[in-house]
Amino acid sequence: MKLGRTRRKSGEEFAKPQMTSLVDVLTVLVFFLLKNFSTEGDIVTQTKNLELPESSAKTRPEQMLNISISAKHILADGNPVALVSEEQERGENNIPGLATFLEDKRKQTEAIAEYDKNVSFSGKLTIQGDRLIPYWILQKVLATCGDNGYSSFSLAVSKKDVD
Amino acid sequence: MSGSVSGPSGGKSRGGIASKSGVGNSGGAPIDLDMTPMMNMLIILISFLVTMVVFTQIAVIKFNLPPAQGGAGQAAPADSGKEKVPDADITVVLSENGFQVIGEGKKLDPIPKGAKGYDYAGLGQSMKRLKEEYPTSENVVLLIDSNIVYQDIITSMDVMRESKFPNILLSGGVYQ
Repeated sequence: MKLGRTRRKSGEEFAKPQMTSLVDVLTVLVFFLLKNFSTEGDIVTQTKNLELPESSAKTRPEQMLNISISAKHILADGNPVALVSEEQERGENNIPGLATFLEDKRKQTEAIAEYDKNVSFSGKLTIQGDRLIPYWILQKVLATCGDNGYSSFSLAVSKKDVD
Repeated sequence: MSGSVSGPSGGKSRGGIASKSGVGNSGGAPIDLDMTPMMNMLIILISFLVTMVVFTQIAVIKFNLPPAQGGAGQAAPADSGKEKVPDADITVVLSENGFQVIGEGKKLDPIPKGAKGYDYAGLGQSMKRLKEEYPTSENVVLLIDSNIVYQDIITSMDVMRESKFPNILLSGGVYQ
């Protein structure tokens, strides 16, 4: 109250910006950002050069072994294990590079499990596939994982906005 | 700047109410709220949220392979599942020409691919009709042709889940 009066007494005209519209915009922006806000952070790190398919699934991802299939490569926990073009030429259902990796991982987990009762081999995998990969490569990966004792899969998808 | 940020709530109530009479606003004089502290707060909040924002949220679709079997590629054809599973035996074939739903051995009308891609709405209706027919069954075997794109598989699985068939089994090779 005081402030306004003193300004007025000085007799000068002062420009008052029209705040309402600005506040409107900012408030809408705040609500939009709050809606998108997630406190969990990223549990699954999305692989580069890979666009996940959209889905209406709501299940939250968990931390586990991660296999990525992009248009060119197959990565297991970030390590390249196979090339898609090579796999296309070979007719078999098994991917040797991936199989070796999975077997090592499983042996590692089982070795730890001998000493630590909290650790057990669960056979869980997250699969991130590019939205344009054909089914045969997914099938090969699933078959290889199944052969090596991994039978519980989570297919990573990007959430659709539909509520 | 820092001074006004420290008390955004105090600033609002105390804020520069400039009434023309100077006595109060009982005379219907316009009230001027001082927006500055609120603006400060909003701008700081926005910059904080913008740094934190996650534009693509990741979800997962879970499914299991049957533990005894080797892999998805060797999954059983539709007929052998009949004895093991008490559920109705429902198979959906996903091929390049469209969908073909097979319920308990009898083929339903095929759902051809339209000009804009697969007819997911048609598949949804077909699945809902099957759900009414077999309300207790939750399993669907999905037979997918080897060249089907991943996005189409995921969308088909979405349709199944929305039609209350949560257990989706994948199989390889097209079932004629």
